[in-house]
Amino acid sequence: MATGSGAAAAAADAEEKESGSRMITLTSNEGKAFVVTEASARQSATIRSMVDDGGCVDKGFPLPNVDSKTLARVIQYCDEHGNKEAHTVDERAALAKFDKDFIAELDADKAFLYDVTMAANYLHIQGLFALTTQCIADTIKGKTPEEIRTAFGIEYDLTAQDEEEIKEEDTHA
Amino acid sequence: MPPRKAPAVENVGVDFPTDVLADILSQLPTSSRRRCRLVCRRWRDTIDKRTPERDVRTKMLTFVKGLDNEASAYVVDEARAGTGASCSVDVIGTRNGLICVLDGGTGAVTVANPATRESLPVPPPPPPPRQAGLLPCSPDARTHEAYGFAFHPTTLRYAVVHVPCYFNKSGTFDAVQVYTLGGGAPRPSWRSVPTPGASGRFQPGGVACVDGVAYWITAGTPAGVMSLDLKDNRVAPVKWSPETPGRGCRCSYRLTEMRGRLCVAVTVEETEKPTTRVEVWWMESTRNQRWTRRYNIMLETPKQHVMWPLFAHGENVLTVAQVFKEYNLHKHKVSDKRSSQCSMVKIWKKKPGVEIMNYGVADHTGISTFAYMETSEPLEIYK
Repeated sequence: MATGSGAAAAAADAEEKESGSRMITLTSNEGKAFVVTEASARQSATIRSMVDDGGCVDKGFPLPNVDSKTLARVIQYCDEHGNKEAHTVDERAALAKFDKDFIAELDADKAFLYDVTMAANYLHIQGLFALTTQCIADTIKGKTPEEIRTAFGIEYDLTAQDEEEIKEEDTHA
Repeated sequence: MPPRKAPAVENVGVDFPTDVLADILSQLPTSSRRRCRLVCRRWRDTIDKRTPERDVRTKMLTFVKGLDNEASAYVVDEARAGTGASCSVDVIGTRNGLICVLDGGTGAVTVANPATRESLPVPPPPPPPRQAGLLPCSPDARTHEAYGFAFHPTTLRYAVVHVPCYFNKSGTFDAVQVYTLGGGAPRPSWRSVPTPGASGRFQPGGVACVDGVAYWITAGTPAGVMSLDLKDNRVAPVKWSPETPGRGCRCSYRLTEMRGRLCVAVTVEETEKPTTRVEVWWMESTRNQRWTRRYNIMLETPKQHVMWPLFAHGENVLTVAQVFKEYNLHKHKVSDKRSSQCSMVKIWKKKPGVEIMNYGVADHTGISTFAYMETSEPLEIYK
């Protein structure tokens, strides 16, 4: 069971005490290990199902699609939502405030926002994915097609005929 | 296009997996999503194949005021129906799946999303100063026609527009009233937008809102159309020269919307014969205000009427016909539209069209039809 890593040892210790508070190791594609509570890790449906299947909890979970910077930010979200209670009005308000600040910070760095969105998709973290995609949708909302292409680096590949057809098909009444 | 002064970090090339892209696009209001089909092929295909409303075209919502004055709304082609509890509401309009209704009794306006069951109250507009004390407020069955429900595509704001007039009085007005939802003000309220003197005479025919511009018909011979751009509050007449009705004809006008364009429906009733001709002209482009005749509907029976404001849905024109004590909603396939710009439909006793639904109402004006798209857009943000 011992892997030589202090984190894994800590995880094993925690598991002995109480399964609800055991620790889980997530490893980024750069090989950096992050030790999180199980409650935090369970925010991810991907990890949750692996844990419930009695999988490789002890070995930790390598995440080949997520870099360290992104994983750290994702864990920040999971810790807040997984480790804290949100039963009272105040607690829910605090969580809503956290989400608001969290997304405002990400919104200022679009490339990072997209990385976190992809990680949330890959790890199936529903709340985080909803938060980031809503933010991206809000950005798209007020833009013209030309502005959207510029913002996302999209190449224009519609022919004049395509464009005419799209406008004609538009049955929005 | 001149280079935009966006910070470099703003423009990041990103290639979302289709699942992620579909999720993002699903969260847009339908009007924005419609515009996104013009971004590139991949976005167009994703919207067409992967987002909720594109595969089915705009749905039809029928609004019915029954014999007991109980109002109900039905989404046609779906098994479920919603019923309004208020006994005197009328639909002002629909926009992106949101419905705006007026309670004729209290004057209260409500914006609702039937899909999420959210609703947002809008206070009744204050009586215009010129008419205060002079004309008693006497709402009648057509009061809701003096209201419009608009969505501006660039400010992304919804607005309720009221042309302060009563159909039973030939009053004039010098301002229209606008209530913007979530306009950023801490306490949103109705504001008055002055209209130049000539535009102040309203003629029944509804208020139509297209792409953030409200339009209404002004009285006179011939009738005129005025516009109010809800972004810059600019009021201007619309270039339009209707034919003057021939002798022995009664002519009436109505504004509506079709495929994102303003339409004027001209109804010509011959006083000698039971024949009614409805021509629908649409404004081809708002820039040069060019009008094209798109529908020519001949009704050779006095018992059948064209539905409003949604008069056509898909390839069909919609009518209502009296059959004994009930009223039936019919659809009529238009002649091949590829061959000519104008769709022709001829309706007579032996060819009353395909029946869609029937309703027990006092008369044909008890049924109206609207465009509807289910949306999950939250109303919360406009509070």
